[in-house]
Amino acid sequence: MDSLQGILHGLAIAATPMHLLYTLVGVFIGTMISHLPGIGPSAGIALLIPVTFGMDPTSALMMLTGIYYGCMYGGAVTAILLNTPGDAAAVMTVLDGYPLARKGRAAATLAIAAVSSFIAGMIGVTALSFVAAPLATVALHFGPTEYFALICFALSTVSALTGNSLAKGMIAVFMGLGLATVGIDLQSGVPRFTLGFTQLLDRVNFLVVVVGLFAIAEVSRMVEGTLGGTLHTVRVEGKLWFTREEWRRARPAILRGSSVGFLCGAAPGLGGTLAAMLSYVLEKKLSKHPEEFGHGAIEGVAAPEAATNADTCGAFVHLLALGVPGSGATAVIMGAFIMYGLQPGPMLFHSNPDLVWGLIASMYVGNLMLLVLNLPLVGILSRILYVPPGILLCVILAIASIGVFSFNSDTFDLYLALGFGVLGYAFRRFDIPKAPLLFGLILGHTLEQSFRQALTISNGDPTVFVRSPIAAGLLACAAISVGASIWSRRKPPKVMQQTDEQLAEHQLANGRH
Amino acid sequence: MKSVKSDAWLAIVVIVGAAIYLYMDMHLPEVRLSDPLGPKAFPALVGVGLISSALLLLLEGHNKARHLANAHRAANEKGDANGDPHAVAHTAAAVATTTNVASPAAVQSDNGTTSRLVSSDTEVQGPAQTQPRSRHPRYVLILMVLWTIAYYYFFDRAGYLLATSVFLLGLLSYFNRKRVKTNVAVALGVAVVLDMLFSHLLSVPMPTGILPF
Repeated sequence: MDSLQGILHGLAIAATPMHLLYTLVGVFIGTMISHLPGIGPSAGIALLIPVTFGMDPTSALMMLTGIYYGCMYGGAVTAILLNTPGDAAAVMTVLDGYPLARKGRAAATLAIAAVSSFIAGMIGVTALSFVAAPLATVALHFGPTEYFALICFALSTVSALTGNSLAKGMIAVFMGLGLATVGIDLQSGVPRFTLGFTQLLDRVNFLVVVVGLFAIAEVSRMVEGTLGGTLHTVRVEGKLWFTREEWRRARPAILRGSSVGFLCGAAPGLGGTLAAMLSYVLEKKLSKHPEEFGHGAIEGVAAPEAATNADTCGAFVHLLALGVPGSGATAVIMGAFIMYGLQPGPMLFHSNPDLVWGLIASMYVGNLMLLVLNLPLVGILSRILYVPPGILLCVILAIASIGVFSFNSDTFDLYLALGFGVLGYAFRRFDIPKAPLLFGLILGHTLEQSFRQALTISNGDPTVFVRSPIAAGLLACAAISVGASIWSRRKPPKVMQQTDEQLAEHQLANGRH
Repeated sequence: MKSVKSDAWLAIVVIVGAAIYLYMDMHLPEVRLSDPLGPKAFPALVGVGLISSALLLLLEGHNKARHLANAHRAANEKGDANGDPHAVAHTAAAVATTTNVASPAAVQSDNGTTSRLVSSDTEVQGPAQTQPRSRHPRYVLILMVLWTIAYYYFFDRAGYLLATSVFLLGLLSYFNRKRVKTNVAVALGVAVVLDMLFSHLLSVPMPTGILPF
């Protein structure tokens, strides 16, 4: 199906009342989750997957995707009003958003953030819909060799570029791969690493790991938060709409932020955080008055917000066209696909065009809904912030427990999730990124299968991986990304260093943490 | 230099874990039906990968320690020359971030470490500050894990409603003290709503336990 035709077809699907309702519910819940400190998109989606059990996959996936970009939209609100990023990707918005809010421009800043998110979302979805289908057509020719190389590439970028240590990223990836080998080996029927638990024969449930690692582990952060520290809210005041001057300054920043964000999203593993940071640095470089950055420059809000939202669309390119997640949250959505018995990847465009195009089109609809909803919602939703965190963390634990139980109606999963919660706490203590573990776990099975199939086809000849030009190219890219990571750590670019210092100073100055 | 030391511990734990994993892998039966590799080869690669990344971590820690020592010396000299404690704090902050290269998420998520580094460096001559705040939550967290294990133990034995209400009430009366009415309402409300949602709307069979419903 042609891309344009596909979008029109998808719009027809997304515009049915049922799908509209689920998209609305998704973006609303996403915005709500973004207001909850500590619960990011990954945990939010994982917590809500059990609720979608009875739905048809299209509505369910529309809702879950809505949560993802709704969360990205809303992350800016807490960043601007509370000086606390609602999700990791909003860290850069804090730098200029909070000072602007303190100058009495809170409402205008929120409006700029919403408009730039909307424009970036629209640009991103359009790019997604025109890039994904051709890419899927190319990927249809991929054999096991190419898939092995592709997954290696994705794993290498995610380990090299998330977090601040290559070694820790690699540890997380290999732990994920190791977890993926637990269970019955499908080719030989040998049970591996099950430690005698029959529940583990059917592999470690991905969603249990996500709930444990993100939701339960984040509760520990909230516990530490409740036992010390308070929140200082800035009241929403000032004129609601931004001035013409502000809009003139923000416009080019939004466009640049969108392109940076989409490109970052389209590279596997480059999360929204890096996209936001790169676009901020770019704006500061190009700006005529760089001294304003950090003290309330409107570009400093518009560009990172645009970048994080375009990044979510970029991340879907991989998931839909190649079956490789582009970020931690898309890895969770991929888990949802698998739970519904769908394998995301090039075949999906042929076997389930309704679902793919409907999902893409629902992102247009959802972005529109967010723009309309966002400003009126700010007042209502920011009340969530006044729910005492003590109550919130108890409720989150209860929802996480019942959600995990409902996957298999088995209490074994509960203990497993708690174990991963403790592991997630250790990850945070040791500053190990969690996303690489998710990537390793969800891709490990395909990685092993394609590795073994490729070697079976070639009769055990390992040179098969370099004889295919695509595979060789991808493996070279993997090597480059690891090499570049080592090199850049030795000599971090000066602008990045400065931004880091600025972030640190900001944290110090506000001293709350 | 706490983070460097904890990294070394992490590397050791990972290596031990990987060794156990490899040991278990070696004891898997040798089955080669159709593929030349069998079920053991891929996990072996994963184990080797784990060990090599742990070794890389040790190497990174070694470099970092050296880098940090140099930077500290520079910071101290600069601070002494200015006679300004702020300068020390400032450069130390810079040092802390440059060692934490790149990710702002790390700065944000690990504020604890960064600010600890800085706060102990503002009193370069004085003894290192201990953090009383970070000690307290640890016990709370351990108790919470034990409490949650007890909850899961009674999850199907006592029934979902009963176990969840008691579990929530226990947690709430610690975290939301002196508001007994709210706590009882929240605990019962959440338990009943979740039970209704899952058992009736989503038709997941929830354990009823000793209660008749």
